[in-house]
Order: sequence, then C-alpha cells, then structure tokens
Amino acid sequence: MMLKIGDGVNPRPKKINWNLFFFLFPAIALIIVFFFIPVFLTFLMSFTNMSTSTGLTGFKVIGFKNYLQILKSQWTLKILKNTLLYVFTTLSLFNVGTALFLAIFSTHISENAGKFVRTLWLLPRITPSVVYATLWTWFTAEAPYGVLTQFLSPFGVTSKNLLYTYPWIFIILINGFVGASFGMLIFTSAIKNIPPDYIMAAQVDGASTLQIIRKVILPMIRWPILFVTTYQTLSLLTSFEYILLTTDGGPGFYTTEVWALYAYHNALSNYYGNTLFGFGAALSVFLVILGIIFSIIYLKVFNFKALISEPKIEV
Amino acid sequence: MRILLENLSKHFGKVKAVDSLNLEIKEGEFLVLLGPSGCGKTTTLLLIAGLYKPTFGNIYFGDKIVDHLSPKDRGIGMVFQSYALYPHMNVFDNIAFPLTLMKKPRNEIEKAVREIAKFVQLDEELLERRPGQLSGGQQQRVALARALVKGPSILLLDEPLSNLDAKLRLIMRAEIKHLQKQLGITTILVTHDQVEAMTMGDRIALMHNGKIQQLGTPDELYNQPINLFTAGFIGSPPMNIFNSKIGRDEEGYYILIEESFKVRFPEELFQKLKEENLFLGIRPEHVTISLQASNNLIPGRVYITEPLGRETLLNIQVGNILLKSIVPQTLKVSSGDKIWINFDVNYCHFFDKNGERIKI
Repeated sequence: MMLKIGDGVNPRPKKINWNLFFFLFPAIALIIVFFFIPVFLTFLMSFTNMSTSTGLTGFKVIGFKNYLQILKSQWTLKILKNTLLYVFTTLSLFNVGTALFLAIFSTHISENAGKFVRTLWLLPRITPSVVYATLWTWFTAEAPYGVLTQFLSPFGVTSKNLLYTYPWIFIILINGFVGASFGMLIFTSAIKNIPPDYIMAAQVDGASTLQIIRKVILPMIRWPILFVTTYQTLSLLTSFEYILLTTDGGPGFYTTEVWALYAYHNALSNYYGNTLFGFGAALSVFLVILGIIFSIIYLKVFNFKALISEPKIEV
Repeated sequence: MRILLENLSKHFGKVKAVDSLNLEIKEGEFLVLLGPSGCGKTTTLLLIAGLYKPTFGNIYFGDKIVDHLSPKDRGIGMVFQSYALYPHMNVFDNIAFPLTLMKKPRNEIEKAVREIAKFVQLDEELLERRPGQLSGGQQQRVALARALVKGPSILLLDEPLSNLDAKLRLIMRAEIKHLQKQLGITTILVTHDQVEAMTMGDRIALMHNGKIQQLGTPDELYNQPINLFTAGFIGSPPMNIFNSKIGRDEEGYYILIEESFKVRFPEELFQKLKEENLFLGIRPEHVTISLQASNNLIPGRVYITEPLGRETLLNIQVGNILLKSIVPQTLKVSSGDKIWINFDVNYCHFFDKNGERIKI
C-alpha cells in the first residue's frame, strides 16, 4: 500500500510556533516594505494622472484612462514586438542556450579548463554596468576608436558605428554575454550533481556522449532549465539598463525601445520634462501581468506538477 | 566468455587502487570480488567494464585484448549499486534503452523487453511505471533486465544487494544465483559482504590494498586461509587470532597464547613449526567447551553470552584475554560461570610472523 507523507500517519497537535514568527519577521518585514507596499502603490498610482506637473498632491483619479491610452497608442505594438524580440532572442540564444552549452562543455573538459571557461564568462557580470556598456560602445564605434571595425576591415567591412547600424544584434550580444553566466552556473552545478552511476550506466547501455547529453543529462536537469527560463524571462522583461546605457531606445524613434525602458522614459526621464508617474505605473502593471502570463505558460509546458511529484513511501 | 586480467593496474595519482592484478575468470563462472571498502574491487570492475582505462596491464575477453574498446562494444551488462534507473523514463523505456540506442525495430524491442521482464519476474503492469514508484526489489529486477536485455556475454554486478533490506537481500541473493546458472553467463559480482560472497560465488577473489589476497572457492577461503588478512576477514564472528610463542617445559612442547596461557599439542606438530613466534587462529565453532575440569583443558570464565537463536556466542575470558566460541543454544551458561576450553589441533591455523599460512 502506498501512503503519502502527511496522510494522517503520526498526527501531531497543531501548536503555533512563535519561534517561527520571530525568525521570519525580519525577512517578512523587508518583503512587505520593499516589495508589497511599492507594488500596491504602483498599482494605485496607475489609476491616477500623477505627474511632475500635478505633483504628489494635485493629481486626480482617472480610472482606466492610462490603460486605454496604452491600448490606443501607436507605439504600443512596436514596443511590445521589440520587447518580445529582445526577451526571447536573448533568452534562447544566451541566457538558456549559451548557458546550457557552456555548462555542458565546461563539465566535459578537464576540471581546470572548465573552471577557466566559467570564470571567463563571469567577467561581464562582475564588471560594473556603466563600464561594461562603455566598453561595448567603444568596441563597436567607427575607426579610429572602434576595435571591431578595424578587425573587420580586411574582410571588406567599411568603418561605421556598428552599434547604430545593427542595434539589435549588439543589444542582444551585450545582454547575452552578461545573462549567460547565471544559467551557466545553475546548470553546471545541476550537471555535477547527477550521480556518475547514471552516466556510466548510459555508457554501458551504448550511448555516445551526445546521446548521454540528450537522453540522460538534459532530462535530468529539466527543473533547473525551467527555473532559469522562467527567472531569466522575468528579469529580461524588466531589464533595460544596458539598452539605456548604449542606444537608449534608439537609434531613431523607438528602434530598440523595450517595455521596461518605455516605462522608465515615461515615468522618470521624459524628454519634455513632465514625467508621467501614473502612466508609467500603468505600463509597469502591464509588464507584471505579462510576466505572470509567461510564468503560467512555462509551468504548463514543463509540466511543473510532474517535476515536484510527491515522494512515495512504501509501507 | 573467459576473462583474463594481466598485470592490471589503475593508479589515481599516487594511490595504487588496483596493483598488478592477475586473474582468470572462466567461461560461465560466477566470480565474486570481495574486500573492505577502498580495496580496489569496484575499480577492478569498472576497468573490466571499460569505464576506466587501465594505467598498466591488459584485459582479455576470450583471446582478444579489449583495452581499447569502449564499454558499449564490450558485450557487457552491468547493474549498479544505486541501480541507476533513469528517473525520467518509465520501466519499459529503461529496459529498452540499450536496444533503442541500437536502433532496433519497435516490435523487436517490444518483444525483447517483455521477454526479459518475464525472465526476471517483473510484473507486466509495472512496465508503465516510473522507477521512483517501484520498491527496491522491483528496481533491482528492472536493473537486471536492462543489463540482460541485449544478451551480453558478461554480467557485472556492483554491490547489487546492498540497497535492499535484509529479507529481500536473501531472496534476491538466491534469485541472482539462479538466473546466472540458468543463463550460464560469466558473472563478476563486487561486494564487501562476505556472506554474499560465500553464498553466491563459484570462486572468490579477496582483495586488499589493490591486490588479490586469496583466490579460491568459498570452502578454500574459509578452511584454508592463506594469510592473516583472509583468516580475519572471512567468517562471522571472525576467527580468534592470537599472538603466540612456542615453548618447552618438563611436560613437553606448548604454545603460549598472548603471554597468558599455555596450550599443549601433539609433539609431531612442533616438528613442522619452525619459528618460535607465530600467530594461532581458531574459529569460534572449533573452540570446544566443557563444564568440568580435566587434564589439558584450559580454565576460563564466561565473560558475556550473546544468544544468536540457533546457537550462542560465548565471550570467554582466559587469563587476561577474551576469545569467542560458538556453542549450541542448549548449553546453558551465564556470565561469570567457570568453564574449560579446548583447541582442536585439526582446526588450528598457524601463520608466521609475516602473516603467511604455515602448512601443517
């Protein structure tokens, strides 16, 4: 007979554990003050016309007008497309794709070489954002500053500002080089945690290295892959600092403007000087909803329930 | 398939995990690699499987050197201590995995899997389950089925029983032995459990420090241990082993045990024992007990009794040493009782000061 844990075997009287509250209090307080209250305030703000001109006192509650404006704006679709392009290209090529490749590659070469490769890929992440972005703008600039055009000139590439000529390629590279290291670390530790018996069993069963990766390693790290995919989708959705620091949404009108940057521009850095807090808040709420939708889709696609199936205890 | 290991060595840095091993395993034989943890037995198995590459030496399957062959080309099946069943595949796919990799047609795979499942007595209905939903014994059968499904000519078993509970271990012990005899497949089993080794193996290779200490039938290892290590390792409870010295007084020769008490043996024995210092070993079942004093019997006292059910293990204090004796449970003695013991010369083992057996 199979019994699940907690099926009434060995029942214990329910008692409030005050220690639990004591130790959880600091964390709960931080989360409430710095997460729940801001989220709640943002949500409330999104129903107002609060801006620099209204100040913090002269604003009016305007209901869903901000949301209607988002839906009506001619730029909404463009920015949404930009956002999806940015998020899913960076995610699949780098934050999950390159991360998986690096994790598998660096665990299949010698221990020290593997460590070296992983350390190399961590450098962009530990470089301050502004320094890193500046390096890229120089790297991609036209001659005589740009290193890249000089390397490419023997191949017939004329000197030009590459960042502005191919903005998306470089936005994705710039973010991807930073983003890959997170997944790389998670996947590496997951792969190293696979008991060697599985790999040896697969070798005896006749699997080649590629088959072992495909049929044993990848299925066994499905949970970390789901985690990294979900987590990185959300963090890419809300990230904009490297775009801000390089193209700032340009060149031209909203060429590389993503949703989070759009919200930032509206709420905090408006060209006309009148920053629209209320409208920016509505944009943020929209982003949160988008994030929730993606998370739910991932949980369905990866069959989350099966991943956390309860252990069976045999009696 | 006959297996021959020739000067086989595996070094990890400075550690000689396997040290110039020479061993021949006959066609159809069930050989057990036995030894304490760290003795090199699992390394030896992984070398035979091709999962490790030898530092020196050669491995022959039949007459062919297989050193350069990868595991999949060696025609082996292997069961791991953890079973290593792929948790994301159901039982059917686990067993079918080796055949799937060989790209066999679906109906052929289906037939082979069901046949082998039946052979290892795995219920048809379990084939759809995930390994995590099976009991230890069932997982073991799946692991066996996966190892056997492609018809290997050599079966390698790495501590296959150590994750099972005591009762199930007894059942699977007999069952694996039965399967092996039925198939007649050359089999190597690695274990640290001497009972497993004694009960299952045609022959046992007892290993220590990367070397084979003794190779022989269970009977040989038990009754004629060639050195102190074998004598102390095989047998439960272990053999009584004493630091001893040969002496002579007005009554004749004697052996002084642990500077504590004298045991007298027939004169002719002493003509064969050349050295003065030696080790005397005697198994607990050969230390005989008497409740009455008599000539040549050694007086002692019951230190503690350990009833084992069918028999009783006595810890006996003689002088200032303790020794063990197994007596029928009908002999009722208790702590503190005075008793007399005797060593049967026919069952005494003698080892020189290097620990090598002295032939009598």
